[in-house]
Amino acid sequence: MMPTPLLSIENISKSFPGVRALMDVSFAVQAGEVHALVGENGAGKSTLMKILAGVYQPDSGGLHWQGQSIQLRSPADSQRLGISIIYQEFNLLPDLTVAENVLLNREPRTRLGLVDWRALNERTRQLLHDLETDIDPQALVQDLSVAQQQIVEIVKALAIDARLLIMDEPTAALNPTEVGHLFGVIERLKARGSAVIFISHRLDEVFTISDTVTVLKDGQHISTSPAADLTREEVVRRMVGRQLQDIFPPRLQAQGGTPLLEVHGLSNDRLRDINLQLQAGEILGLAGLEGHGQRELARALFGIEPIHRGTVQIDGQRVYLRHPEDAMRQGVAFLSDDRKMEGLALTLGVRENVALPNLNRFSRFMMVQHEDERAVCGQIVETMAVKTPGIEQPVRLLSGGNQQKTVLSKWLISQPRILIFVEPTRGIDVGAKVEIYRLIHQLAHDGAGVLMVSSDLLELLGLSSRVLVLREGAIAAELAGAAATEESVMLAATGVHG
Amino acid sequence: MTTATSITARLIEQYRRSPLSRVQPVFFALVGMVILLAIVSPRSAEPSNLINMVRQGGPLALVAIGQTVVMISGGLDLSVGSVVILADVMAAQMISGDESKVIPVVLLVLAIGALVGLANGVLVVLLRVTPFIATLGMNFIVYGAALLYSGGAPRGDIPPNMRFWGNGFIAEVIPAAAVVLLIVALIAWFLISRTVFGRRLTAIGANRRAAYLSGVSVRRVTLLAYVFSGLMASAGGLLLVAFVGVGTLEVGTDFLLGSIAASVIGGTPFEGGKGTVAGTIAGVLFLMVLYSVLTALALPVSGRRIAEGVIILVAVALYARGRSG
Ligand SMILES: Nc1ncnc2c1ncn2[C@@H]1O[C@H](COP(=O)(O)OP(=O)(O)OP(=O)(O)O)[C@@H](O)[C@H]1O
Ligand SMILES: [Mg+2]
Repeated sequence: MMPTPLLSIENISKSFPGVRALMDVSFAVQAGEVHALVGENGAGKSTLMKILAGVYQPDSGGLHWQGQSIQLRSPADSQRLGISIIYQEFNLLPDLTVAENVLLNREPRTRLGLVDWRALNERTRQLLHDLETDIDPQALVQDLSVAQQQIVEIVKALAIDARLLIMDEPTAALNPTEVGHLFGVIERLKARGSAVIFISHRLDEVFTISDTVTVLKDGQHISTSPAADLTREEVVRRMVGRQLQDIFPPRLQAQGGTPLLEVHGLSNDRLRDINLQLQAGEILGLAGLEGHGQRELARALFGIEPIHRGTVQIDGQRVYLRHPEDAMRQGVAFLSDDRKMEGLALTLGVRENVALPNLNRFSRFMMVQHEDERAVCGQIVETMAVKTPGIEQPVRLLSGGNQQKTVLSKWLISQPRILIFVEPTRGIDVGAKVEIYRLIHQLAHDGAGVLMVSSDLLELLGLSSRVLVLREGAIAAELAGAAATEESVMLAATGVHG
Repeated sequence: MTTATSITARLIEQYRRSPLSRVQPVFFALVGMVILLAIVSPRSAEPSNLINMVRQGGPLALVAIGQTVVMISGGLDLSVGSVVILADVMAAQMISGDESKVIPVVLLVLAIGALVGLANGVLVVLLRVTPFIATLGMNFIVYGAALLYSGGAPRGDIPPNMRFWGNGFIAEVIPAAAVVLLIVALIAWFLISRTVFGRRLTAIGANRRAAYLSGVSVRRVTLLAYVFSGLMASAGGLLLVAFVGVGTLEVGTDFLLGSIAASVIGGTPFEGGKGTVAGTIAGVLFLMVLYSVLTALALPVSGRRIAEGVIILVAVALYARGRSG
């Protein structure tokens, strides 16, 4: 007989205006197991987790905790039971330090009742140490990269001794090494008898770490089965409802002619003497370990980071990129990896966000032509299959993956000649990824040049015609065709073979 | 008990789904305030009196529309009160009853307002002074200039051809000031919701960084917002002096707080990112009716001030709560 589950979810339903997010969902989570929750963007995963965290109340259905019926009316109720959650969207306070964020409202006190700063920083350092990162507890959160912010979110959740730890896409912004450290922590929690609910769109991670896999589709529970009984293909079939083939489109060849983009001797605080060429029709991947300059290079080429030395040419003409505006005038599009801070105006609607970089195209005499705007925005939203009740929906109400699709949309319709994409598929489900790869491929095929940074090495290798590996701000290797493999990239990135 | 809560829940749900929920709360507040006025003083709520409020509210409405534009971008313009005063005393003194001087002086005063706005914009955008400090400082400077110019005692008066636009009536029923307001409101509405400028303005308020990375020239748009606000504040001052007939140095705080309160009550949050001209005008009318209610209650001036302040704070606080929920 099965032991009493730690948590059983019973016939939970939840609707939002215009959206049925969850319909009659039931399954159980056992103590000491890692329970993966998978499903397409907008399937209802985060909504269900927010119900477990006491953020939302279900419209109907109930929860049992160790056999007892419970009501979670607030996040405090949920925390009291020992449920800790890493939300998909970050909730850090940018003006505070890492340590202050991690132990917010739980600061250790001195005997006088004041905050014990030494203990605060020490305790945080300890927690960070478990994940083997070198983030300084006293650094300000606003100075951290997206990956570092994600780690701080994880550490914040670990600071509570949780019976059930919910992780909503904790790995979307992490590189493989960081994911490895996270899995180490998950194993330790499991050994202690805690349960973990793990949400990820990377199925290889799901199979590495989980004991049980639950699939949601369109708000409905499809299945809960032991991971050992499943294959990757089977999970995809249950998630998407069909078989998926050809994840990556055929590799493209550079089209020749004057390079679209040519960089000579580019240097700044983080980059050293970068030389590169991007041809029309080419997808150029930038690889390397986190923090070795790939992001900075991408940003410098969009006028976000200063260029101290060196030249940039577009179509053989020297250009000066001081602001994104300058780069856009040259036909450059840039997708930031930080969609919340840099990609979206969350309170505005899908249409307004998608239109923002394209207003010139939608306007005549400085007046916005609403018909054009609505037609083009509606079209791309459909192509990208953004799940939303309409193009006027505020983007903050979309699921994480659908927000990412919205940011992608705004750049895909900008008719760019050079696309700079940093982590384009962050938080995107397996089915939608295929569609996005196809669109990027199509743009390149039609004569655009693509510069791509991704911590997902398989994706980078699968799409790129050529890969540049950066190490310590300089180009360490250029790998093309069959020479570009996971091993060769990692070797060049770590500099092991000299 | 449970049935009661479930019925309320159902009602709330029905309201949310109905088209009514899209009407901004300020319009309900306005209607409520008019009904209150009709109760405490039936005479004041007669149509002719209500129309008169539009006339009296005209100057504040112009200033508030400018304030709204700056607030949509996430900024704040604390200099509007002094710009109103400067426009007011300059116009009275320079025109001094001479009808032929009206047009050149009006243009000059508008230009000075725009120039003050430009100075605010330069402080905020190029020198990166926070809007609060930059425009507060500008408020003192401009007030000082008004004092200096008038020698502490405003002189001069406004000739009939200009006074008409402040307190006259077209066809004996339509206040000319309401026509001015309508025209300005239409232009501002067009600017905010139909032009590329308006869309960029909103985007800057909603997420400045994302707007910048989408190619929006954040500096230029912000600068223009302050210029527009300066222009509207001097227009408000002109309409005021046309209404009153002589210059005054006293009204600064009323216009400063009034313009911010009307914007916020009308649905423009302090953080920016949204706001409408219609909402702001309704906010101004709400304030005008509120003043009438307080007058009708025959409270002493001190009591009126306190009541005004409390009601504005409550309205603003309610708005802030409604949004986060
Ligand atoms: N507060 C809300 N208001 C309106 N709709 C919402 C709200 N929260 C979620 N939704 C909608 O509910 C559906 C489920 O969203 P949810 O965030 O649970 O998806 P998800 O499975 O986590 O997707 P993703 O993989 O993209 O993160 C989506 O269509 C989303 O737009
Ligand atoms: Mg989610």
